[in-house]
Amino acid sequence: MIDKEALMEALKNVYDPELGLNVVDLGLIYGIEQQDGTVQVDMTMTTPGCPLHESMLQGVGDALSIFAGVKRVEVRLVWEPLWTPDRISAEGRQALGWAA
Amino acid sequence: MTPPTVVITSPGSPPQAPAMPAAGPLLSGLTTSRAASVSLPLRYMVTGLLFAVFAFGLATAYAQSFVDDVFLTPHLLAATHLAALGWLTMIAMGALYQFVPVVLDVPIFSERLGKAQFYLYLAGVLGLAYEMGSGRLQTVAWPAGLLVLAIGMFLYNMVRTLARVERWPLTGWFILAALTSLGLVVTAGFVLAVNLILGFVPLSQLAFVEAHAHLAALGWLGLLAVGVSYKLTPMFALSHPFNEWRLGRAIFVLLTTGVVGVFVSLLLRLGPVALLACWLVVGAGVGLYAWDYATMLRVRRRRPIDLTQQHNVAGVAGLVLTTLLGLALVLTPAEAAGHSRLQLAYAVMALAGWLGLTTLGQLYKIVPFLVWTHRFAPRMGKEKVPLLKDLFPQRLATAGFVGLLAGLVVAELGVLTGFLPVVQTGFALATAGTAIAATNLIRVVFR
Repeated sequence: MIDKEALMEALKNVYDPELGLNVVDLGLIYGIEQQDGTVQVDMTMTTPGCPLHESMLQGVGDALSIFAGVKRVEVRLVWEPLWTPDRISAEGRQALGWAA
Repeated sequence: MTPPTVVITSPGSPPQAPAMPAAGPLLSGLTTSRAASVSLPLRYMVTGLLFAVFAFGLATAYAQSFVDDVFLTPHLLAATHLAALGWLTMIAMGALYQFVPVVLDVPIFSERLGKAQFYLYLAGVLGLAYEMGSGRLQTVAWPAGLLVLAIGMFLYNMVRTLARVERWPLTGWFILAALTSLGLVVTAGFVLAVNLILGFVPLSQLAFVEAHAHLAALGWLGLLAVGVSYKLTPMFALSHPFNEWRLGRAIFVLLTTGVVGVFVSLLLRLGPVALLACWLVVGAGVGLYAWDYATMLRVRRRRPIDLTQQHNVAGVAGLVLTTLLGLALVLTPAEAAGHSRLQLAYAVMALAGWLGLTTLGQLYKIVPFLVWTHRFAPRMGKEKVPLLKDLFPQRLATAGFVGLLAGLVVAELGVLTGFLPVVQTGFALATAGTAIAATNLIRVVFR
């Protein structure tokens, strides 16, 4: 088993190129599970039908592929619960200039 | 060692568009299976940028046309059509080839048709500008015919594309209304061009010109700009909570009704009362839209106003000023002193102050995004990739925006006062500002 913190840290290399925020601080990652060399990630997009979803999903898959022992990465795009800006981390809010 | 397999799945359907809170930072890209190839929209955008510089350059060189009492001089006609067709419509068509698949979740019916249409359209714009600039209005029918053919191909492509749309967000309705307007605009324009030779339509040519121009600016380009802003502004600004339908439905009805009313009133010369009534409907739509746009910005979670939003804020101000200038025109008798100056100031404000600024602002998102998704998206997650804002020098872009904005303010004052050196200075500044924007964005494409 790979340390979950290490996986989350790797996901911080996947950025929204417009906002400059990574998928973790944006609150797009809903869950990470591991079993028998397979890492399964549930993630969402900030808006349904998001045009960037394939490159973001692929980026998440590629970011987790670097770990030794990972044979398969499954990235699932989910829409429940719907993303809202409240999911953005404190660091992310600061980067956006959103103090609330 | 075999690299791990990456499997991407999407088990659930996204929620229906009307119910969703319009918020999200991710923009249109090429990595969706629906999106058009990068070369289709970019060819329109790059060419449109060059025409923008050309149009302002022509306006600077022939600034005299903006202070003469003679309305619709050859050079003025050429500059106006270079701006409306070469710059704004060219970019609008490219943007729709990229935007429609992403927003309405349908692939473009035929990319090959879109590419073939580009060359016909380009020839038509160049031909029309040349014939008009040379003062040969009797021979504008041939480039007008090319334009009809090219725009007809575009509309056919869009209709076949839109026929597959299952869910219609507010932006989709605006796009549909804009495309309908474009069909009417091009039909009216072609009838006008042929009528210059044959004179078979018993209507005033000036009435035809005015109706045609209003439908092009307000109906085609205007409704499109408003509709697109309902998708892009909340996305860029992370506006939340914001419901696009709360005022959007009323705004759509007011603007489309008002545009049709203005077109018919001008074409059939229904008189000042009917025109005023229709203009007030447009004005109510514009007022509500300006309020809704301000709401999008007020509830934004991304606090800094970036370059695109700066353009858009100036563009919405340009829309409000266009509406007020239009109201002043409706209330001023055609024979009154300064009426033609008011008409020119109104046209410059609409084409450059509202639609031009808005279009350039959106390009500062769309062009870097297209290039980013093409060049850098495949490397994301594996290595550090640049952000969109890293793809062009921000300070230079801001300098271009300031130059264009200042130039337009100066040119407007010059047109209103009829003072030639002020008009020249204004358009020269605007040309420089637009050239900076064009250089900046075209360099991104070839990065």
